[in-house]
Amino acid sequence: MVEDVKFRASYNFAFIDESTKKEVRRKILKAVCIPGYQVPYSSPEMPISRGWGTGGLHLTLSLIGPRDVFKIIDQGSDASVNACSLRQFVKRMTGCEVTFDTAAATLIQSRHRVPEEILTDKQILVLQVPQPEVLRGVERYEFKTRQMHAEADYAKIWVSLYEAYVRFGTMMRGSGYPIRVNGRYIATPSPIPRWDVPNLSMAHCLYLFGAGREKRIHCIPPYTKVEPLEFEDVLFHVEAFPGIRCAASGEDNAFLDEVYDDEGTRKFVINDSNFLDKVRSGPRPSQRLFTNPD
Amino acid sequence: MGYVAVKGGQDAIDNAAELVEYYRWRERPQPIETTQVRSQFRLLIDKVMGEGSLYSPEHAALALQQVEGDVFEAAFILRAYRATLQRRFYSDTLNTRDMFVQRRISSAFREIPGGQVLGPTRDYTQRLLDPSLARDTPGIDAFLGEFESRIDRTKLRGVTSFSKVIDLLMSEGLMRRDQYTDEDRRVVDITREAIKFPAPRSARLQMLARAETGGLMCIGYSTMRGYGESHQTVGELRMGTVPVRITDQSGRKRYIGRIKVTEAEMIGRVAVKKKGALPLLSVGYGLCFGQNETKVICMGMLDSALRNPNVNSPGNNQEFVLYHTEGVELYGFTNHLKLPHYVTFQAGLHNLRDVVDRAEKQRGVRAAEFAAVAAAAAATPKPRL
Amino acid sequence: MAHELSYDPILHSQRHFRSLLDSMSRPGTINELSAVDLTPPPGLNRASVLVAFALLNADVQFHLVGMTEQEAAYLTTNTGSSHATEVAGAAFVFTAGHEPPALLEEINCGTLTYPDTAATIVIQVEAMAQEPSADGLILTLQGPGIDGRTSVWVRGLSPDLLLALQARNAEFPLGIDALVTCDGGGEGSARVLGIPRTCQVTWEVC
Repeated sequence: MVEDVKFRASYNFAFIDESTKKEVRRKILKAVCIPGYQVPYSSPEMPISRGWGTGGLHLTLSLIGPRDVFKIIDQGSDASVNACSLRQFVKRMTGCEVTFDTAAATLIQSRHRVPEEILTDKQILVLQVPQPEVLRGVERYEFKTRQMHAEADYAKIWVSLYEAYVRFGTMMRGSGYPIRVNGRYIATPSPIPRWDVPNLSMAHCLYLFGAGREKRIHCIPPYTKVEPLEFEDVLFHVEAFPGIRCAASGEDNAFLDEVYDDEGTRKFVINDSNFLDKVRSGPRPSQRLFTNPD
Repeated sequence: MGYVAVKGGQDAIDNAAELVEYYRWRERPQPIETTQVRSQFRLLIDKVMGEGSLYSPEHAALALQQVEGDVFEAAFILRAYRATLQRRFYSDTLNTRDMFVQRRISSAFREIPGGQVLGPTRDYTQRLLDPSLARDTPGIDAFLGEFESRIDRTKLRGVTSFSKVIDLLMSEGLMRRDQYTDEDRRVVDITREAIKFPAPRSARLQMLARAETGGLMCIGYSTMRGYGESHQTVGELRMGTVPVRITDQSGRKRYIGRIKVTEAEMIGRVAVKKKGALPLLSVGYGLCFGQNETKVICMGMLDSALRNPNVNSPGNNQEFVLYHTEGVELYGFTNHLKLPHYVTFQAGLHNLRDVVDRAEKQRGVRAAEFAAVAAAAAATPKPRL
Repeated sequence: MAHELSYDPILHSQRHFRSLLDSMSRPGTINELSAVDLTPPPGLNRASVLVAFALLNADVQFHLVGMTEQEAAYLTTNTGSSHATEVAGAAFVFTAGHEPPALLEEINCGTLTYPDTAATIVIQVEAMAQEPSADGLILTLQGPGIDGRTSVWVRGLSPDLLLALQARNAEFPLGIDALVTCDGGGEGSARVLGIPRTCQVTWEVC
């Protein structure tokens, strides 16, 4: 019979050991000082699968304190199954207050969306990143992409955008549109829709990006210029929903999900679940909206 | 409305977890004890400890039992558990010459000092499905009693340790310690810092030792079939227990126990570039927890292959081998495709619809132009030929 | 050597880290590090000590300029980090703001492929405030983290040190990131200001 004491599991506050937290914290500070550059970090294993948010968790758990109010969304929704699983984990390991209300949160972890409601200078948004290396699609080797960033040699990605445009008439980047941060590093904004990309530039809040499996952290500080890659004559556009309104609220001017009901009818619903709740029950929270160039 | 408009995510995952338990127990089976898993699934435990990078048969047994035998999940649990453990010491380098050998063979020579010791292996049994375990209870006491009675106890004291086969090759000068002098010899710990490329040998070996066995097998095998240059010989394969020692804060060496490891020294050739340089023998090294011979053989082959980088062959490519055999990362990321991806998918649909619209407009324009040309041609009188 | 028992390695270090993160993300914002009952050695101000306690561990080394064994031992005892004899080996360098700038030449400013390996310099000054006072420098800061521009006043920071820092930071992404620390007005008060390598600093004497 195995004695209980061998398997007794008591956890440090926020699960991660203090030594690892310090390492992550040092790396976060360096990421802030070099906007858009991918800082390698130890990325220890977590009880959550790689590819399911370990990088976001490393950041959240190194940042979070008992007085934080934590929100977590996946594809814009608080109730999404993986968001529920991660929320449960963070709450169990910290005892923090959790919320669905974007405005009430001090720390927000998100997979693949930036909330519609403008974030303030008291808020930090942690984004989960599957592939932090924006150049990986044009160069498979890490030792080469590292060199390309060092020399600001971004020819390959410009060529790939150009070729996509020539072939298809569009740059073919639905999500994860490449951005130039502070005029120097080209980075991925994580697989957020183009709709969210303008929100990254000159924002009030701090954006941190965590890729656990690939072991990289990068950052967009507040009030930092972020430019989606575009050509002089082929400019960046966000998604348009011409003549379409949210079936649940009647509102437009938000990123919409396509959903199919049981009869197979296609409808559109506001993706950001907390934003949807708010527009259905009260005044519309402020957003930063981008106007597509003609 | 789509399912996520419903706020039932937490309930859904709680129910999912409960369903797993329901399916586990609904036939009301006789529960097995962790000690039974530990003692009767030895090789599975060894595999999980190696990939979980944690030497603890009891924890491996518990993990396997918890996840109903899913090896990827069990190794993952051990890794995650390991990450919570406090690091007190780095052990002193294991000296496998001190191994209490259970099994030790060499394919390079017919006879070696100390002899070929087959030890416990199923290599030379026939893989015939044997129903006796399902039918009868094994007569353990009778078997052990009879087996132990045949052991000549007077000979036990004579069994000490075995020298290494590679020592023979080194004493003849066919293999040298200093053949890779310009290699990066730094010792790094890839669990404390992300691996950077090109990686020093210590990082490569550390990752290979924790790698997923099937992944190593796949790539190792490819190097034997033309996707790389390798046909190595097992210089020595040994399996047994080695003492683990640490140096404590006051500088004293302390013995903390023994662990079972399998070790392979695969003999290949040094790749020579300079004219006149001798293609001497080299060792491709493999070591892992427990008894896992496939893993160490493949590890040794890949250690050699990685010392000869060649981007045209997957097995000779550091980034390919090391990134794609890290079991926990592979398992997580391949399975992450099950997560909702509707925003990214729809963002792609938007793009695609734009392209299709544009193509249709173009086709419409061309069709109109073509129709206009055809109409003009029809209206023009044709010359007689 | 005093092991600071009132310092909570979990909760204090998290709270102080958030202040440091805010300082680096919003250069020119003076952050007050929440009070801890400590007895720093003479060469280190309270804020520098709290920076060290929040960020140092056995994985990195520090270097102290113009200080003694006492300060080094204090940091080692309380963080597990060790003193690097060569400045280039240190991840954190602690110096007074009036120190001659020669030391900046040797501080690790990272490499083009790994600019994050650069050190952080902790510069101890006599006083700092958002509003200017006498005998100091008014720093005007611009760059990421700042909406337009912002100013802050410090006393005890040598313009030569700022010039030398500027020179090391001239070739982005190479550079050294700075945290400026001082004891605040009140009892136990500790102030910190962040100047990342991306920050453009101009100054005037007042």
